Amino acid sequence: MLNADAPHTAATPDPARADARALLLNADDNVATMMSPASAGDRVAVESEGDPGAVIIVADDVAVGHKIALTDLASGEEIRKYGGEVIGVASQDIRSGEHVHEHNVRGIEPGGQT
Amino acid sequence: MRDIALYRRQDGRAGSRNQLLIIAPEVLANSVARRIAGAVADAVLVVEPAGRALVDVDRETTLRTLTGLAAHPNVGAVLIVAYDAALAEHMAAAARDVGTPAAVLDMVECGSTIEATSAGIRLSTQLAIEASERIREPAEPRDLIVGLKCGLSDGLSGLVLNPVVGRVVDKLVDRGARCMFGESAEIWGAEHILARRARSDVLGKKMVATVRERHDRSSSADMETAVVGPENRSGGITTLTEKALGNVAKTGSAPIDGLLNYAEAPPKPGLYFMDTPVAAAEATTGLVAGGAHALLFTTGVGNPFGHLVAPTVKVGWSDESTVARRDHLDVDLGPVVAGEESLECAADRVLEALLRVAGGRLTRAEVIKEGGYAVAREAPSV
Repeated sequence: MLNADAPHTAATPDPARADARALLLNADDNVATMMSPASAGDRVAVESEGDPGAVIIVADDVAVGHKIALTDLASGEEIRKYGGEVIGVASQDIRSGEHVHEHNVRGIEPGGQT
Repeated sequence: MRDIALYRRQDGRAGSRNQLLIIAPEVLANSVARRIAGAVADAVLVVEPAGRALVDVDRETTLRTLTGLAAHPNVGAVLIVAYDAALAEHMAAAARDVGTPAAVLDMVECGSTIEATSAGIRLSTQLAIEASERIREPAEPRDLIVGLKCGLSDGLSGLVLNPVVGRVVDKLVDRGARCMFGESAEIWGAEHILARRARSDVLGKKMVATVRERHDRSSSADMETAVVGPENRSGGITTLTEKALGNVAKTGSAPIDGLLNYAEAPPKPGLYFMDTPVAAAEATTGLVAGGAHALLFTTGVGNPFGHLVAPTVKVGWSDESTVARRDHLDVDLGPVVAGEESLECAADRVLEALLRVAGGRLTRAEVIKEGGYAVAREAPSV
């Protein structure tokens, strides 16, 4: 089960009762992408390969196509998507269920981009 | 796969359209070309905004591109309007080589733009009538030459839209079609994935070097800003690497058979990487001049672009809050996003749409007269 110990994970993860859906591409990823919009406090079912998966409580309003953290991420930790590929690093601590975007992620361009 | 009918050209290639193309390869001829195109039925107009005093790679690229369009399998006849008659004759000869009726309107000989306009309408009338007798003939999937592009991407482009198109590409390549993708700088961060699929180590290394060269043309910060635009960011894409990983999903999983120069034709069936800029008009013009007679174009936010010379099948998604976007979409993958349709079923729908468009069904971009074209520029102006 995804993220079973994270503080924002629902005590009774029932995807059928979720308010919104997100897609996890690969078990190595630590973010999921919203397939429907969610408001702060909503229960989001994190689907993976047809499996309804875990339910996570989102901390922010998150639009379709945007990412949420599936686990707590420390500043400097790698953000993984698309099968464990590193798409950036956390520029601050990110809590499970928070919106993951430019405000808390920076690119990892070789050549010193920060 | 459904049966398709295409226009067969003398060089064996097949077209999805049978256009009267009017080309002004230099800016001085644009007004005359525009007036001629406005006077004859269904003419497609390609005007080059520069085209004079080009040097170095730009001269070669522009000539190869315009010649590729003049001799394109979607072109049933072509008029070239130019002051540089030698350049125009070179392009016309390439068209005639594949059996396409071609004429040159020599602006110097005409003496004035008013004289040239009436002479050009007369020439175009004859060309249009000649082109009109061409008919579609039964064709095979191996006749298809398909260009791939994504534009105004969002967070679902790499997750839903491009993976669906990737499945279509796998099906096409399996059946002997030719597919091409470009957007070199937008591969940066995912080049290792493509390199693993190259037919040889040498090809893989060349692909990586090509992507790096494009990327290194600007600072990383500048490149990140240029490639990940504001609409990409509001759609949920955070970094260039993330965009690149989503971008390459549209290339499917087939081996990559070759690396093409801008506007170069794929020599045999398979999947090819063409070195192009990332922006829609420049990227697709390279693919089309290389022979693509249809484009599969994914868009998250609702990019309106359609190429002038190749029908552009738009694949996107919408929901209740983004209904207006449907004006641009030929295939709406909203049901996949809603969790009601599998990627595989969606891929069958996209393939069906592509084959129908290749067979003559109009795209939305064609109907509402979207039409873009731009040759990539590399060298400084002199």
